[in-house]
Amino acid sequence: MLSVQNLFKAYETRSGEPAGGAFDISFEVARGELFTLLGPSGCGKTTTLRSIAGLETPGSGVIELDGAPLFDGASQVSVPMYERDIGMVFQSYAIWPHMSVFENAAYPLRVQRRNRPSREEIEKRIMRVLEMVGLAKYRGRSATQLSGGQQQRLALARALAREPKLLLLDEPLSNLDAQLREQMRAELKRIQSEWGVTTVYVTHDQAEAMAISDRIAVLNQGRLMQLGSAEEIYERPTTEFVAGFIGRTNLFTGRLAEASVDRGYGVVESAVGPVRCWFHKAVPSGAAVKFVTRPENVECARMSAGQENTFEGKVVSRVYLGDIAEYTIRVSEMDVLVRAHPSVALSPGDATPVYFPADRTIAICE
Amino acid sequence: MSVEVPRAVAFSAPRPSLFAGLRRLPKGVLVLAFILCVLILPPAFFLFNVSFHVSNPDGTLGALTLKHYSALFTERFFLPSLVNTIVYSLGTAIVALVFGITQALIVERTNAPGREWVFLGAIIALGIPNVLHVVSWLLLLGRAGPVNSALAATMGPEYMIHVYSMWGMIVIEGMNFVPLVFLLMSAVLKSQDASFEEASMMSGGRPLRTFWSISIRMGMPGILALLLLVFIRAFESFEVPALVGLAGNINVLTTNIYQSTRGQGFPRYGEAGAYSVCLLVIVIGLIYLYNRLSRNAHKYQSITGKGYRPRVIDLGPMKWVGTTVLVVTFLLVTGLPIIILVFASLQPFYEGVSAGSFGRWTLENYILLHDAKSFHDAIGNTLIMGAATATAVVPLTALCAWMAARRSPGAWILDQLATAPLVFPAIVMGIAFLYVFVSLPVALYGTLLSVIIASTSRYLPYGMRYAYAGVLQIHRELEDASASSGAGQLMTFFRIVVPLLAPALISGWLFVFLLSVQAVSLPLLLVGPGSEIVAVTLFDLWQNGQVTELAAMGVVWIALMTMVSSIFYYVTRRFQIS
Repeated sequence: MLSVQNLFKAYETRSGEPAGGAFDISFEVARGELFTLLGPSGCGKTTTLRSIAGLETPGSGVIELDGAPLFDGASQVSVPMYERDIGMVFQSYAIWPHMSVFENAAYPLRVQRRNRPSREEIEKRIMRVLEMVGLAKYRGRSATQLSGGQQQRLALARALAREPKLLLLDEPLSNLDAQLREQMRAELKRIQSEWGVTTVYVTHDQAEAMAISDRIAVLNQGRLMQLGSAEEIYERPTTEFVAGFIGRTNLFTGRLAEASVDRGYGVVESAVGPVRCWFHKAVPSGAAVKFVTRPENVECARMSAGQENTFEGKVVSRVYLGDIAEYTIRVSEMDVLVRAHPSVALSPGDATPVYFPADRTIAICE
Repeated sequence: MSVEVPRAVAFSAPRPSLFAGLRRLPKGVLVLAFILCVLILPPAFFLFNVSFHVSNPDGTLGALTLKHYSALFTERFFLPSLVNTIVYSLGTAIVALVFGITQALIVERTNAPGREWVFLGAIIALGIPNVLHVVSWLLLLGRAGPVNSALAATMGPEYMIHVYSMWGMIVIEGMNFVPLVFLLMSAVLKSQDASFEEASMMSGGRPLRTFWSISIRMGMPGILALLLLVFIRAFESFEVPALVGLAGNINVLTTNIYQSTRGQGFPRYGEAGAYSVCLLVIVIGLIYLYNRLSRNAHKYQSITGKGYRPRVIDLGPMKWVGTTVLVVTFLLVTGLPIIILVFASLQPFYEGVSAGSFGRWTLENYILLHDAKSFHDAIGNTLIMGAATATAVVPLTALCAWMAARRSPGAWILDQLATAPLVFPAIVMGIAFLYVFVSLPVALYGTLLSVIIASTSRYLPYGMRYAYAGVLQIHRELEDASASSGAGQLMTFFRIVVPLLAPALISGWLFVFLLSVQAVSLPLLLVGPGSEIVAVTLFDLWQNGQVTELAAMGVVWIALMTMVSSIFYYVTRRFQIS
């Protein structure tokens, strides 16, 4: 449906120093999919989104929608933004204050040049969208009288009004307060799947991305770090950045103990001892290897030492959080963060075995 | 445990008397309010007083009367003058807005090459006194000027233009306000969230449609407010009506006031007072309207959220058209006036631009200036006056703004008092202070000090604007932190507020300096022998027909002031003061 190939867009400060952008970004989005660009600020996610929208002109690369090029650096094709069949929700909503709710939503239909719908048709279609976002009863209201959440809904209604091929959402929830954000998140997802519109969603909030997306592309410093479903990205990070950016993690360094390893399991010699981890690609013998494991995957207290990936540790501190107890456990000079069930009752100073399940201990070889 | 106070008891407590109420205010507020009252109330009082009394030939006041007002409405000059003033102000506003907004749009929203240089033009324009601007336009468009010679030569003498007319006034004053409109409009465009326009484009709106349905419509309240602002400024302007209008027998309200004080026989102070009060009332009404309009304009801005970025439209090959428009506007507003002044200053006498004039270059005017003590005195007086005014205004308004912004009890009155002079047109202020100084037992009339006092009062609102904006940028907790470290209020003000406020205060100082040294209408009625100042001298030189000396003096003065305005621009840019 949407294809982005080798997208480059570099920014410079006034003095000519590089100031972010997107470097060699490639991905495909399938029809009806909700695809998220996730990363910290300045990672290139908004640049990528604005390039798809046509609000920025990339330096090079190819962007295609439904097989037709929107932008092609090599053949100098660049469809103007107002001719791309794309709806967009802006971070600031950009609800026009001089128009009513209805007029805001109807604008995309009113400005259409080719086969503009009739007055009745516009009325019918806009009321349907307004109904869907729950604003039908506010149709005559001035846009300035809407609350933040209502403006957000209106922005969505406007973006969907002409039933575009692609919907772009630029941090749509970042201006809402926490409670409203979760509610709107669910609603966005509902409307998107009901409408079945292919969507590219930009956010810096990993929880939001995981909750809403079919697939996620994690970006950092203008480069694509990893692409996959929420589970894949969380459970099997391929880069240290992704492991650290999404959720909390324990990071260890070591060296491959075996001759070599293919995709699959291998043993790494590390400060805590030999640890069996999962490798997502082949690594030569003796290579320096880092591996990560999530605090909730580490087990303690309920197994005996001496088994595979099990080491003797000593509790440094315990933080009781109600639904969970968080331990810092020292294993041969390494502090390991463990999230255990609150029924696990260890006190600082207690000795305990610590177990890293091999299938959830992920080797990172960049 | 809470103690309930019975309502009846609370209400029956004796009301504090006014005096007791005053005593409860902080001492600082009282002192500042007193100083402001001394600066503002006497001129207002004398102005009203003189307009309601019979004025005797010796300058003293006679019996109470309403005859000045009744004369005003029955005489045949008032209504035509009012109509003239309205036509002139509206025309001026339209001319200034068309040029200024076009300039701002090209600079802020397109990629026309060289657009950043427009700011330089605006800075130079800021350094040109209004009176010089008018004079140079008269040199350009006057009977002997190059425009008329060209018209006469190519199309015949019947096509020559008569600049001493309503449209001449409108064009000259309009050009005069272009830099102001440009600066204000470009600030508005800078702060406007471009995603409103982007949202339209993403909805399928083409550039023209977007410009019409979104940019113009959303900008409308702001544009209307700007129109009204220029209208008010033209309404109370004096230079163009005096230099262009009077010569063409076109009277407006401000020149009527001037004429009343300078007419045949003894000055008709009562009539001038009545005129002034009428003008004052009209301006108060207009400013009230303006405040309502501009609040409306801000309503549209407050809806924007985060994620703002400027939007630049790629004009493609058309961008050179944009540049051409900018160059032509620059030439009209700043370039040509300066060129003709420099040209005239190098001529032994001015009779337009002809083949002959290019054979007669001379530096005599500059040598004359260099040797004239009166010129040095005028420059010295003006610099002293400007510096003294700015130095008086800035600390005073800084304290007022700080107390008002931090909501000290009763400090709102400081804000009201310090911005009140805004409603006085300069010529009215001049008249009012004239009354004050001639009635004082102390011999202040005609001294430089009298000009400084009047200017201080007049430019209080401008100092207030800079200081207030500056204080609002300082987070309250920075001061609370100082207080919780054990510093007293004054200590906090000097150690925390002043250093943080410094950039705003410096630019406020420079701005007040620039305004006060260029004013003609305020000091015109106040200066006397020994207290000449440049702008008034220029005005007199023109009245005497000493064009070439005037031009030379103007060139020197513009060079000086451009330096000041460049520093001003640098400071505001560096510290991002709006």
